[in-house]
Amino acid sequence: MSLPHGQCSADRMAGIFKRLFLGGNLRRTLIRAGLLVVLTVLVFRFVLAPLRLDGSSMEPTFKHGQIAVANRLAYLNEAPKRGDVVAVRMRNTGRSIFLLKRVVGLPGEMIGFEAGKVTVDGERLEEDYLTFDSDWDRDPVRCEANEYFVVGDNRSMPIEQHSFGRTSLKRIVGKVIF
Amino acid sequence: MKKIIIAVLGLIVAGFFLRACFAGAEGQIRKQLTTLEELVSYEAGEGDLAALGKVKRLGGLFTEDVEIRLAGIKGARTVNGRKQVQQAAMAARSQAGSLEASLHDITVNVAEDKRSATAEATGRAKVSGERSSIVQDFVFGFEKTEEGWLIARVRTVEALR
Repeated sequence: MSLPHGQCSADRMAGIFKRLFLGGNLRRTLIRAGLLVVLTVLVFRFVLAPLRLDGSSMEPTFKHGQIAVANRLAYLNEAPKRGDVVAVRMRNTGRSIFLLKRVVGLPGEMIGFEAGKVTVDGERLEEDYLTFDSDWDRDPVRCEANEYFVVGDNRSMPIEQHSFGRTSLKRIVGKVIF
Repeated sequence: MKKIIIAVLGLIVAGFFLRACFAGAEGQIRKQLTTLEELVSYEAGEGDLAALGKVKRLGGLFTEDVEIRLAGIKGARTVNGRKQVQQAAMAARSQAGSLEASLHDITVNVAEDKRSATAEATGRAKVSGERSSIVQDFVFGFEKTEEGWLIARVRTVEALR
């Protein structure tokens, strides 16, 4: 007895969809999917930190709404360098909200602002990444051992509205790679 | 095999149910902070009666003599007492059309005597008309009272020193 033509086509379509989404071997597909999930969790928990930017303090380098990724392993064997853009935890136990800032001061240095430019131990720092004019002035403060001075690139905003200052190395989550 | 799976799932569900029903001090404090988020937030077009109701309930989360110390853009500000908190909340509603407040990365430490506790959280506020959110770290001091765990102290903490 032959089946009606329509039923043959429906079964065939179902077979195609099943093969497309579940593969030829369901068990193997589920194992691969499970491994992919585990790998993704491990990568984004321990290696990379995806960030969605909220705010304009790093403009024009990073824009509001832009997606960035920080390398959590960047400072395993080396210290942050001046000029690095880093993700900083809001608190020691913070895990979901970070500050995205640029390292401008290293441990032991006196960091201040004169006419919007950073001074390091009294000397003005060359900052090619700055685009906007600024009139920021702030007396120097010393970075303690294992402290880094971080600040955003957008210094056209009023200094009171910009979060900047010293942070300990342990609160630096990673180096922003893109 | 099926019976074992069903039994395990049943145990897990029962565990969650019991945990919800008999939440310890930390669970109760977290619940208070969730309520705080809900009552601080408001949408555009919220009626006056609804706003009054929310603000009244908001006051109930704090002790009568609560002290709130906020360091902001325009300098430090202190709010003392439950009534001032409610007045400040009503005043804030006239400043912006809507506000979505949330607390993240909450950590709770309950004192050994179980009469006081400290909670730390990162607060995030999305205000209508503003392109970006405002984020701020807070420390909440809780006290156990007849009305449950109430907020007795709040202060802001600078993320970078």
